[in-house]
Amino acid sequence: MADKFAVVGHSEHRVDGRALITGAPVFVDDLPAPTGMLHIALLRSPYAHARIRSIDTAGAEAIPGVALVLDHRNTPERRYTTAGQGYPEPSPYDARMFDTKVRFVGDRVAAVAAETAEQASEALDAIAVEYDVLDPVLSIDEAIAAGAPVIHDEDDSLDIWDAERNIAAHVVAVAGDIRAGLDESDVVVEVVTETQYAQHAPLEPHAVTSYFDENRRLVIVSSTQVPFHVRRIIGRLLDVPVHRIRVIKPRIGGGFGVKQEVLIEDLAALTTLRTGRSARFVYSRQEEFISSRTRHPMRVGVELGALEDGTIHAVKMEVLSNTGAYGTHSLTVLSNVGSKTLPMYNSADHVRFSGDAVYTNLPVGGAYRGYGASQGVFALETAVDRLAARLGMDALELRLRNHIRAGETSPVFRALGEGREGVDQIINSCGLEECIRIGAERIGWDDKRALRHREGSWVHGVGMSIHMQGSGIPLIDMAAATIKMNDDGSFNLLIGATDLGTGSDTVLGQIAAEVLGVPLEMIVVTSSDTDTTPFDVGAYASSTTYVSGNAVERAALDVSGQIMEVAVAVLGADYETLELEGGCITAPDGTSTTLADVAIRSLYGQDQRQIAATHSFVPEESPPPFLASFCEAAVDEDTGRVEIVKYVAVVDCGTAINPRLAEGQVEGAIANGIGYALFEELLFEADGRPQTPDYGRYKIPSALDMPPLDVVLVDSYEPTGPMGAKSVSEIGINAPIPSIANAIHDATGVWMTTAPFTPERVWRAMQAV
Amino acid sequence: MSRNHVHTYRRPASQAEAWRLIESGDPAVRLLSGGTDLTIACPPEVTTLVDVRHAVGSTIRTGEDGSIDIEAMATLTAVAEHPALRSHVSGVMPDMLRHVGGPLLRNLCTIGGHLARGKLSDVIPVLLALDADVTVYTGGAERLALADYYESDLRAGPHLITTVHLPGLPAGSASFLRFSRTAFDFPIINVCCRVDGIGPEPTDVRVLAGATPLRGTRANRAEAILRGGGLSDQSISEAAAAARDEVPTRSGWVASAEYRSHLIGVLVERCLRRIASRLERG
Amino acid sequence: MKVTLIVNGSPVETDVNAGDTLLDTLRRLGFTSVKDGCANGDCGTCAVLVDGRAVTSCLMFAGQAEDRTITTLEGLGRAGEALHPLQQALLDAGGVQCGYCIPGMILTAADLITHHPNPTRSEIESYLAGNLCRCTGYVKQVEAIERAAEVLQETDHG
Repeated sequence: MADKFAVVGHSEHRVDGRALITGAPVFVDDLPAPTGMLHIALLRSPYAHARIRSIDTAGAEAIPGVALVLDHRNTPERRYTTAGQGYPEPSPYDARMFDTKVRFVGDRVAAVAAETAEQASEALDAIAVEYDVLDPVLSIDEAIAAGAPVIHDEDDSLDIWDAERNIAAHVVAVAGDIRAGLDESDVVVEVVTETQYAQHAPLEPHAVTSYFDENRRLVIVSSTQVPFHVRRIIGRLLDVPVHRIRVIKPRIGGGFGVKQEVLIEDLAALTTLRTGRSARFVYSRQEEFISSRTRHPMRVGVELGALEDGTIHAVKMEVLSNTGAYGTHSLTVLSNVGSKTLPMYNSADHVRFSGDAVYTNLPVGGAYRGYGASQGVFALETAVDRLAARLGMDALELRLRNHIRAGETSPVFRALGEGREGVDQIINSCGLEECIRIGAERIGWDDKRALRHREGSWVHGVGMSIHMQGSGIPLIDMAAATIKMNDDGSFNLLIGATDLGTGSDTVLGQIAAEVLGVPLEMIVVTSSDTDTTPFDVGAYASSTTYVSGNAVERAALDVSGQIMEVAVAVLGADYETLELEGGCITAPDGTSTTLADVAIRSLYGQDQRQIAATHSFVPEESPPPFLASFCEAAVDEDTGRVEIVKYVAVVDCGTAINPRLAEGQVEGAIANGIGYALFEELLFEADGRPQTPDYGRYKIPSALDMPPLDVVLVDSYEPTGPMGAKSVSEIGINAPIPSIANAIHDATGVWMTTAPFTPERVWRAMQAV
Repeated sequence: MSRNHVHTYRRPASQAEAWRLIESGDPAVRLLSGGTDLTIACPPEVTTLVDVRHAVGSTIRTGEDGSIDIEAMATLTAVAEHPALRSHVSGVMPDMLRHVGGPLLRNLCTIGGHLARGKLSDVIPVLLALDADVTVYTGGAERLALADYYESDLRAGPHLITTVHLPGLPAGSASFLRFSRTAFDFPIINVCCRVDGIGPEPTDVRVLAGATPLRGTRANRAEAILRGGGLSDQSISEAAAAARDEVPTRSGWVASAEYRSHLIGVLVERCLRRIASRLERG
Repeated sequence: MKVTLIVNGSPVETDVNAGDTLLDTLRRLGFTSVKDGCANGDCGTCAVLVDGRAVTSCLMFAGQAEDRTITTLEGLGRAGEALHPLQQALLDAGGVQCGYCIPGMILTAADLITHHPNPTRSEIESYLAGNLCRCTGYVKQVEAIERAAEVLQETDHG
């Protein structure tokens, strides 16, 4: 791969590496605090469900240093969604800045801005609130039960599917005739899986600073994945024209979807608007666990019908998703449960997908890496293993027989989009078969499957699962890039695209460098500033490499064309005969001119102009990356503990623009997925209060919890992707739950259907057999 | 973090001076050793911290009789790294400490502070199994068994733990096992077993299960079975079952009582089998 | 109250409240490489070296650090442009993604290599138990630390 390209396909060092490795002050809370900056604190609800009967903030306002107290009485009443999605956002407008009702423990009641954090905290204690406590709804089943309390009983919310029944969103998508399909099947297997509340737990919590610049424009510096959506949503919410707002994303300490949300920027912005002063709000870790966003817990039922020869003929998937107290991302995550899983088995002519996202009085589900695929693939991939068992077929062979391939399509692509009809597409690149074969060999599939090798009380098994995701949202996502040339033959690359630590600044820089024939250091990347960089939807839906990358490639091609035109004038050769490489343009007769010479001439010499271009890209399809996941697990029959002995993930992401960064994405995603599979769980008391709002009680994997992990990138090329690239950042997180569940079954004969697979759950499941 | 109610920081230079600061039992005055508790959970009534870094020592000394005295300000890292602990009863102390909290916490936590906190501990069951004593200062020094310290009225009033004493023990072996969700996590349950005597019949045994209840419970019936039956397979199985049945457990969000009890049985059996095979090897 | 901290080789006298933690104090003094990820001792992003040992600075009161030698990432390595081998190794291996866990992780690794110059992979993983990272899965970080330990052995770095 590396020989095809000069910069792309090479594991270049990160362009922002030095700042990060030296601990430079580049995160929101490190940036110098403007003079007189106010500290914001948030009063949050102690009840899962209550009306605010009265609120008295006089005591708080009287505290010296308190500049502002906000509650439902003095803030905008308009409903909106906090979802960082394109306009019009496909999420219900069911939130208010401060409502007269609280809908989960941790919901907003009031906010204080004060000169010091201590004063803000003192002021919170001085706010007197009277609540009329209501019966809470604390599970999916309670939410849909007849006579359940109505969580969104207001009359001014929009686009709630059926508020009376606590249903935020509802999806049905059909291909063929499911009844006929299942009837025609020789074998039908059924499974119902449950996944838990999980949280992204990025090491940097949400953080925002806002201030007026010297021209009294509102500047918001936020740890966000979606700066342009923040600008638009804040503008509409607070009645400020977009041209009076600037949003900047500095370095951020992880997002994983939790920062695809306009979560706290409104509080800082309104404080600045009302007081004229700068303001900062950094979530505490507890607030990050309780009052930000979570994975949607789900119950997913799959019925899988197949013919005797192993051809999958019909798939039915039914979903109940717990969207928590507000419906942000409720519809789109729900849709993705099917849209990113069902197309895999396109041999099935008959598919039915249906689901409801229901409100509960619990923390709010939002965007989280995997975005519904993580929950859906648990049911689907364990159903496939059950099918293999029923048919007496090898589970690997069954998958090889049925998975989608290049040149093929699935009716699900058109039937099921992100909360609306989707977009037809034909798979252009699919290295999945190779992924499966490599993974099987590395894990020792043939030797270990069904062997149940024992060591003391430990019994071993191997399991696998196969995955697809997407690369951006077709026809909806848009990214743009601007490239301009400098005196020394270097270029500024201005991109709206958001680097969360993923390395997108580097990856996109590499694409530009490749086209322009320069080393990466000659591309100066500036990203995510709504004043200086062109539009980009932001970092979500695995869109950056594919969508933003295509925009960068187009801009770079345009710029290189302009350079060539100057070179034609300088060298007197024909355009088509010139070669741009290694910072030089060379004519067939051997004469050449450097990029620096071209730049100097075009800036100062003749026919002066700024060599520059801006291009946009809207994808027409969403070419999926593919992943084959294999795991060897050992189960301690005495305790139920599951240890991962070895994990192999083989990935087709098209061209890996930066292989080391791509591996890093998969490694991190698999690690997160292992936590999700084995021990991550947000738990609640009977009254809805959270029991696990810190890293001590909500465990994420540490270095000691990681198994030997082998990540392999296969050679592949996506013709519609920049330099052949597809996405890579989400897909890995979906793999551990089904692979481990299948391995546990291989080892013990027990099917785990509830995640996480804690030792006690596994032990009890083994006892029950 | 708002600990603004704390306004006074004292650094007594001796135990006597420290005692004078706390002897009234005023709940506003708290002893500070490692700091790992008070930084994150400082009750609102606390106004004064008494930092005993210069009042209490941190040395580790050995005696001729195989005893070890650990001054209370010794960090858990210092305890884990000291050669005397590595050779004391199968090195069970450093073996246990490998699992406690990670190096960042071990470098900060002091053994005295940890014992004073006295809950959800891997250290306490091991110390109890090793028949540890503590010296406590309340104007004068008093030495008592660690087990008695936890039962005494002493604990409810102001006091300063100054030293932890590990007595010299007959040749034998000890083993510690814990069970937690992840590698870096508080224990769900833990078990420590000690067997004196290298022959087939132990001269004394200790079986401790901890984390639930909060400190460490002796499994007396299990111990009796072992004293009578030695370390045969059958005796070990019976002792493990007895420990499982006799140690009270509670259900909580991280594990049920039934599962905790089951784990106690499993870990006691594993500890004892490990000791048995060590002793067979001589 | 006034405390004198010796940070990265230089004495710093500063006013603190009795209840301020070392983390609060260091960040207020401008050592923003020391991060506040949880203020609960669970994540390790606040780790600094105190007398050469890595500790969670959110679990220490400022008063406890009086007259003790404190090293933050700003103080690691040689003066000027050169990166410490741990920094270089992490960059080379791809062990830096968002970078938020990095200062704490580097200092913990520095403590490890100082006291265990030849760490096995298992010892490295154990030592990093209290430094959480959500981005990388630790794979490239552990590799980097192994590599840095080798380099430090070879060059007998101070």
